[in-house]
Amino acid sequence: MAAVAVHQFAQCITCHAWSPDQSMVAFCPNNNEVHIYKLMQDKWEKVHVLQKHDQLVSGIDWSGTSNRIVSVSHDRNSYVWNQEGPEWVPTLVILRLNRAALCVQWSPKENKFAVGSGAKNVCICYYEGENNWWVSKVIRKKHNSSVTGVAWHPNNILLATTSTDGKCRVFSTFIKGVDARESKTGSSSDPKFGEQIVQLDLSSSWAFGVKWSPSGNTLAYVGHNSMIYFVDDVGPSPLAQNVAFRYLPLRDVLFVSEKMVIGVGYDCNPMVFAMDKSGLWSFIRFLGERKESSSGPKSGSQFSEAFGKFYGQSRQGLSSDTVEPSKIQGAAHDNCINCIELLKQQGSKTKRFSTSGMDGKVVIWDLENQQDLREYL
Amino acid sequence: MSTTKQTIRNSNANEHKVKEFPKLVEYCLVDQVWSDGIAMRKKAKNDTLPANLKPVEPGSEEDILTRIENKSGKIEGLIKEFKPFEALKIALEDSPPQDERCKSANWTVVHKALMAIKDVEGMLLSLDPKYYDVLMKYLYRGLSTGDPATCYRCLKIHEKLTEKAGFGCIIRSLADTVNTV
Repeated sequence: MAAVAVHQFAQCITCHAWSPDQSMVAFCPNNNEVHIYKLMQDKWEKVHVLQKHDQLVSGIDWSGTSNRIVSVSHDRNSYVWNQEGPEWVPTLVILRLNRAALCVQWSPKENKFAVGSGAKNVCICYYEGENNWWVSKVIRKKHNSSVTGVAWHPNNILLATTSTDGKCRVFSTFIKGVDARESKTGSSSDPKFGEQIVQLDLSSSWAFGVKWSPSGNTLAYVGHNSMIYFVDDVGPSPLAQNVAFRYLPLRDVLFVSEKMVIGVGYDCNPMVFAMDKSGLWSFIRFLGERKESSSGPKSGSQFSEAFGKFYGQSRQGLSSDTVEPSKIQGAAHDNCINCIELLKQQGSKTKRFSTSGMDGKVVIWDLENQQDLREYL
Repeated sequence: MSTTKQTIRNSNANEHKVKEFPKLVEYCLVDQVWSDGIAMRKKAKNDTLPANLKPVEPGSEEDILTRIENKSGKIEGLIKEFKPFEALKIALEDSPPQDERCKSANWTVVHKALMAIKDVEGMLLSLDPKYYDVLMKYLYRGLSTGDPATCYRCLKIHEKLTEKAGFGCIIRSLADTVNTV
């Protein structure tokens, strides 16, 4: 079984993040607080409750080296929490938004973070040492609708965003004084802050969950039309692949390696996508256990009753007697998974990740025993 | 399920390997093809095409209407020869047209072919997976007519198509507001 641990923390979790040593997890239990739980002798204990936001906390990120938590909320604010002794001390970051903040991510060097918002813009915040506060610069152009996902390129300058207008865009977030100018990329064509490098119009429906591959060469994002898009060589002439799959749409993706992507979404089960030797991405299988369908819709969980009624017209003789129980037995999650996070570990190969969903569970997955996926790691 | 993997590798793909940051560039995919979950690799174009996802229609509406009429003739012929599967394939060729009149004309043609299908399983086996999404859209259009015979036929095909193509196919037919039928 790929799922090694299942923890029920709350009724519903909007987002979660792990501490640098993976001993603590911070999440929002669908209210205005951030709960931090610590694993103490096989039991999870609530150690902190961060209460500063007025509305739903929609995004949390915990920086790996500097041990800071950033949280953004529907109340249009964001706080950076620093641990001083036993307490977490918040610092307000003024984002100047007039709509909810939807997602947040620390940059790889952790000197900046990006916030996507419903105000059709992205705020890049960085720390100004002289005034001892966080300044935000806003990318106001280009987005036609809410920004649902942000992802930093490993070079700390490029930022990819997905939006509900169906497009994925890559911007430069070069800030003088914060980012060092790289002489090898050619100083004459240094990108300005907020300049759009590429706009990918591959999806006709909402786009979510953008991520860069570990090397920064490939970009992956999902559309709400049950498709996942892989883009190579992001730049003047990208190569795009659309992969349509048979199941319900995804909400988030994660690059486990250069050649393997895990997608999570409304099917409550992580899906594995991998790239073969010729460079073609395709769906391999589900990660968790799933009841095998003998005849498609009938064995799906909550759909069987509905389908029974739907097709009842055309099957006067047959009674829809196979009403399956409402849970997919064996699956780790009962409801939509909307967040997937990488779990760092010693050793070079990444094999563990965690997912959290609307069922309030955080599930830890390990790819160690999945023999057929070894070649892609 | 047999699948065909095709790789379209553009020979110019390696031209622009220099990592320079260009000025504003826009991309859109000219065509998307679905082959049983395995993607066809397409290179996004560099010129600014309008942001829609279907090939630009060559010719005017009149040309398209004439083509649809030709299709209609061919299909009637094939139906008389008891070859409904080919009839449906020809009906579904060419992505749905943009213009309302062309859409209605195309729907009439597809409807004729659909009503002639008796063996649904066989039809789906012989149908190229790239037509699944378009077929699903036409099924919903059929279901919306309310005509008992059409609805009955469409419902039967819908059940089998969902078994074959999964919920993703239904989602795509709902989510695609650009290429409606």
